[in-house]
Amino acid sequence: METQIPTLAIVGHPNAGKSSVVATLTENDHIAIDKRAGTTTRSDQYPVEIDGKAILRFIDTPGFQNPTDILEWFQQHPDEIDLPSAFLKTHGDDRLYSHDCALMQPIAEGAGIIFVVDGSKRIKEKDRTEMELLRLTGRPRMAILNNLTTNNKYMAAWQDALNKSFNSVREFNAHRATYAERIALLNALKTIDQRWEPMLHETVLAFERDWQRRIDHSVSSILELLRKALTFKVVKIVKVNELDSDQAREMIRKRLTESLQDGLRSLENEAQAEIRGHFKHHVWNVAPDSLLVKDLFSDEVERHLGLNRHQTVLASAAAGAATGGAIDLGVGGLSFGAGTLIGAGIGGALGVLGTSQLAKLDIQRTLGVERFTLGPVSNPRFPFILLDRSILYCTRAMNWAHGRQAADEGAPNRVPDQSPKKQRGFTEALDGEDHKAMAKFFAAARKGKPCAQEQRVREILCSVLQDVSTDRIDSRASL
Amino acid sequence: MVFPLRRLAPNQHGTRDHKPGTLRWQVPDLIDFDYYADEDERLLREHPAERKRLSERDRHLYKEQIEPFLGDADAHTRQHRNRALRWWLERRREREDPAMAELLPGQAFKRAQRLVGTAMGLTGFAIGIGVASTLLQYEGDHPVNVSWYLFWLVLLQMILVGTTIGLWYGRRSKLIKGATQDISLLGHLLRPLFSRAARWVQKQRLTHVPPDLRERAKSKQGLLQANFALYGPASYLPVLIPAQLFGIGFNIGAIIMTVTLIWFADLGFGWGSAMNVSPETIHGLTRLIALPWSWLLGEGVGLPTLDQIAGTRISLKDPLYVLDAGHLRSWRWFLVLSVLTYGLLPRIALLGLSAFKERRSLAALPFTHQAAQAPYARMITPSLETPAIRAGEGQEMPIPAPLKPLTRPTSAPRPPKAEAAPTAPESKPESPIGSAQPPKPEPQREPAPTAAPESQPPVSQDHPTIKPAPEPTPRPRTTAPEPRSEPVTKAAPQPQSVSEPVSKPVNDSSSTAPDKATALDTRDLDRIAVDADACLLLLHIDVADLLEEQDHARLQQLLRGQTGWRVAASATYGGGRAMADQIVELISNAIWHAPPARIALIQDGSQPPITENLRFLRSIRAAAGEQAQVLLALIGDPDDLEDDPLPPLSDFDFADWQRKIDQMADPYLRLVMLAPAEDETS
Repeated sequence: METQIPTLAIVGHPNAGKSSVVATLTENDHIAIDKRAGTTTRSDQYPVEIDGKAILRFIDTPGFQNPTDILEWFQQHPDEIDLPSAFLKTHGDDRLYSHDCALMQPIAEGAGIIFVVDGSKRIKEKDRTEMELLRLTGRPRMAILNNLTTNNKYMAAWQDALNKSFNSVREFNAHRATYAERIALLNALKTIDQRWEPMLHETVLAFERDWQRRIDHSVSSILELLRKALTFKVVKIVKVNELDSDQAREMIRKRLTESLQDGLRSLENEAQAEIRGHFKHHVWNVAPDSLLVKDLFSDEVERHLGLNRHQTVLASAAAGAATGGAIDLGVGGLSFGAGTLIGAGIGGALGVLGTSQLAKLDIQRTLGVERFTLGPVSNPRFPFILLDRSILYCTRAMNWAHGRQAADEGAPNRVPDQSPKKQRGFTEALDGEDHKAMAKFFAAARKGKPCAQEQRVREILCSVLQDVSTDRIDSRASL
Repeated sequence: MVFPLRRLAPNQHGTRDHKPGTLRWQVPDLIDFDYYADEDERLLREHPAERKRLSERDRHLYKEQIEPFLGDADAHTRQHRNRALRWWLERRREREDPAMAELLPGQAFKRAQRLVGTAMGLTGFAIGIGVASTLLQYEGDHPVNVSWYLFWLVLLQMILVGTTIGLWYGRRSKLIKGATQDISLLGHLLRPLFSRAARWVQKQRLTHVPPDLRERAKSKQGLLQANFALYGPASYLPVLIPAQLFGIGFNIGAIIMTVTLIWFADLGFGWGSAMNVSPETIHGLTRLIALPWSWLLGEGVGLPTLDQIAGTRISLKDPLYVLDAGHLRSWRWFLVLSVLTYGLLPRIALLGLSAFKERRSLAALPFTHQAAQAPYARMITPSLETPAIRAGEGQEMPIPAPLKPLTRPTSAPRPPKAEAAPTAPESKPESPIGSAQPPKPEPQREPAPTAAPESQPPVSQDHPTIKPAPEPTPRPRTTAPEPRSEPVTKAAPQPQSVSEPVSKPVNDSSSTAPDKATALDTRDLDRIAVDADACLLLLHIDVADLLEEQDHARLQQLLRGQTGWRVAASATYGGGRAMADQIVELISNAIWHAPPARIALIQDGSQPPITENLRFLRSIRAAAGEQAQVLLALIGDPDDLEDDPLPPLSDFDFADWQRKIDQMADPYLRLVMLAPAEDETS
């Protein structure tokens, strides 16, 4: 029954990027990939399983080591019906051909061929040899032009050359391929062998369903994060006689602020780890200049993400719940809330979020102790910023190709991560109604109440993520 | 190299005799040579921009301080290479900080050699004394048994010497090779002793030098293990010499002890046998043994008389006093002379023989291994090379038109691999190589004293290009200078082999030096002749496809910069087995002046090396011979926009190749970038 499963051997010259392609297609970042040639030394199977049942199998193979000999052998044995098997029979024991045999093995067993070539380089004699010998195998075959650079000069020549020997030719950047491109590639596989169509159709459907599930889970993670973050507060109880001066109170306030921020940061980290898990990333680091590496409370994050002031006021006002914050904001921060009890300087310390403070400090005095409570977050922009960052994180996770681990990020001619178009976050681009729904959700979350708007917010987020994965929404790669 | 036992003081390089021709290779020189070559190579690896400086330095050294001393050997001959590199080493040492010169690994080795030699000699001496005094134990109750003395001090030694000689001369036979890996088990024992001693010596010296010097010298310590395998007998003879010193010490000790005892003690000698041996038999044997000296010291002095022999038969039941005291002493000089003749002299002869052999094998070293190729190329390559390269890259304009216009398309788009028969289609692109050479401004080349008139082909002589002629018919051979007897196979002459017969007198002033051959009548050659300063160029088909005619000039210039070789003929490879076979045939049929062979391969290095590439290199090696110089020059993937068909390769790709080539462990295969990157940027 195993034989019924469509099996695709990924073959090509050493260092053409076979393992990257497999890693990206199977979302497996455990595959060893190295910029150096010859990392893969045997044929490894990477099945795609649905409910524990394999429905499609990719086989990562070592690169060709003796293409000329293979081709010449093929040409000398035109009468063999099954050239790959015959080749294996005669060369199976030859150590010099071990890689060639390892890659020929799945082909002999009936696997289809995905031939990976490095489209950034000129077509060489070896490439022609490999194309021809793959053609002689008579197996269904597709070619992938894996071009990791901006060098497109040779792409047309490659297309022409490959078209002669392959049923289908696709461009595919294993380091940048998005979900949409992966699905497109899988769909293209249907065309190389009609018999596989039902299985591949199922596979594609399964991938799509799985993708939707990941988005749902991620949205849940984000909503959970917001709920936790908006009810998060820090408390400190101090004896009155230890509070001998304003400086001491100031110290306490500072410390509380720090721990509030730390708490929020770790909440965010937890949520990010969850999201990463949803998208099966194990080895992944965000680009060092991304907003995601910046501190949650840094100026830059504040500047680029969340709603603008006008939108915030409108949304908050509509929500009606975050009144205090909205008023604060509306009058330009002149009317400080209860926090003003502490004195001046508060705006400076908490001012990262604009003119308004992050949270209010509440002090209760009873029986010789003072109880300082900071939080929950009252700043109306903060949840939007947090939400934006989470969405941004999701988009990165979705669009980070699993085969990218070995990408040379420093290479001068690598494909850039899309040019910067927008500088603002995702939420700002939504319309006012959505903003209001979100603000209401935030207000309810702050109070720890369930909210009728939650379903609406969930839908909004799902559609944003969905659109990002199908490239209908820009993924803000520059942020 | 006779071992200066007494000279323990380090030898100052500066005091050496520098008369022409007197410099010889010694083993410490090999070690220092490896050290300097390695140092240069590392420098180039870390700072590629130093390439130019090194080239200038070595060229300058060569012109100013080396060439005048070389005598009349032609460049690229074994003798020339051997001497030039020896002088190069000498000049490098002279330029070394004097304090540092003392710390060179070769120096350490030399001192260790002396130390080990002395130690072995002294040990032998002590053991000789011990053995002799044990054998000559005499207390007046039993005479010393002459047979025992002879057995231990003469017979055994003769057997050892015989074995050594037998092994040495039989070392090439399979039987012995199988039994002992290289001739001396002793070598295996002694070599570690050497390196340990050398390290110890070095450490001792290091404690006496200023700290900064110590730091610099530290790095040199690891280099003591020179690449012994490359130097063959020259490397293990120095290990055998201490063994001879041990033997000499042993014999001297034994003789001195014997003589001393004879002088200062009363010794009685005798012989005995339980068999019915007559004194006449013994006398006969004795005379036989004493043959070498009996003409000088006859019976009674150098050997005992029949009476004396009869009178010294030991019979243990008889008390000693029944024997005549004069008879008992009569054996003494016989014993001493036996040890001298059969123990000491053969050892001294062996020592001399080893030293002679060592000297001969050192003088015969070909120095074609890859570490030696670079300095040699730098020395003999005219130093204007760099500017010329730049001009080539910047603009192709100044390059004059080819002397003989070739109409064939040089880089026709290759059809997608349909052809199984490589010869026919492949040959086409490469034909330009062999063919007319655009005369390019030749880097000014000094009239090498060595270069006979024929060496510098200014204008292309008649170089026959063998076209990929339909089917080659056997043709009259060219008059090869050294006609080899091998039958020229009628197998197709290589697609394009250009050979260059002896050229006419150099026309140095002419700015055009198409190193290449011009197209000749295809009628001519089945075999190509490769001059001493020329090589066979093998172009990978990917490279050949892209080269325009004018690019060949630059290619040759770059090649010359790397190796000092002109191109005698070129061929294309990479298109299949038939093509590879033809190349192998071309190599083995070629007439190599000043062998070993010289072969340069140009390959695109932007794709990682695969087994196929390495196998081809192996087959080249097999065809060209073990010590042939093979150069693999890599280029990058040509970029159409840059208009440079010979771009430098990325360091990363180069390292990938380097790793694989290193794994081949072929010491005579040198891997370079044809056009190193710094030329590009400058």
